[in-house]
Amino acid sequence: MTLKPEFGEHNHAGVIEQLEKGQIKEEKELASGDQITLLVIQGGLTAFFKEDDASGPAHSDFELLAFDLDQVLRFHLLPHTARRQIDGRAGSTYEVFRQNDLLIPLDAKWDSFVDDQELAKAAVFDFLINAGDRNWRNFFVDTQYRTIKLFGHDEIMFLKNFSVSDIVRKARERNLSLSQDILDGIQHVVPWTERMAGKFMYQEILTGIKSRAQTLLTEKRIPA
Amino acid sequence: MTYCTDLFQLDAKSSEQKKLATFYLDQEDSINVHVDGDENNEVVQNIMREGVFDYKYARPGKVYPEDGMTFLENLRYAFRAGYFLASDVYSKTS
Repeated sequence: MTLKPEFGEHNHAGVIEQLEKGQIKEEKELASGDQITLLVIQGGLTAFFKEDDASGPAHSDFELLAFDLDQVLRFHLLPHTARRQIDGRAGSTYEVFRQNDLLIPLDAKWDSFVDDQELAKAAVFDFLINAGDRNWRNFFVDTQYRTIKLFGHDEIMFLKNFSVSDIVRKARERNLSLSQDILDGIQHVVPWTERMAGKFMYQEILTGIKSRAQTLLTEKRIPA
Repeated sequence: MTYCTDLFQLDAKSSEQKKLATFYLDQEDSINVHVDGDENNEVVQNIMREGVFDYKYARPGKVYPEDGMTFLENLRYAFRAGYFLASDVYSKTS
């Protein structure tokens, strides 16, 4: 097995700063029903920029909340994400995954390429946010490091309950217990939800994350 | 009149979007969506076989090609995270 690189090796703070205010070398509007732009930032970073919807909840609040939670857990499942303004347009920008060995998990046996505790990490994340729309359209499997890469944490993911996350379902099938490293990460979630109170408009989301974190710490596995 | 939605995939290396397929209805009231493009592409096959959630009207269950316009309208919500993106429904005269 190849050891997975940690964020520190990629100059985490530097990447965030680049996403927030690095000079844009190229800007390409993507064909889409949404306002999504591909940015090439000075230094070679490639990122999506998703503009906030003026008439609805801000995409960036949800994307940033998800990224912050991933940082608190120290799971490193999500791309670097930051708030950004481009020509007066506010939104979120998140790094494009460009690894060679990313698998679109269309096949029902995608989880055979993921290590148990890496599957558990992604399942914990989805369980905590009560991900209501996790499927092959918003995660990849990194077959080199046997990990999962998550993306697409907008208001639909947080607020709608279309289906149980495909990742949570797989973790339940494997009946995985959570390693001490994972439990240590979850320990940080309850105080984080308290720090976030008042900073995020959907208090019920934070309350739900706190309650589910407490459940995980008690049960030490993803509950059925 | 034909109603269409285009599905694109991003090549993260080249930063170019590639059109995978156009899903279309021959008329607004017809009941089956067809594909113009690579029907053997596994992404396209998955969508046609498995359907997508009803994001637009937030109704339980999935919508399928035989649901016609409702299926077409939902593709842009199903594919919204960047690597795959779908256009709004547009019309063209045959």
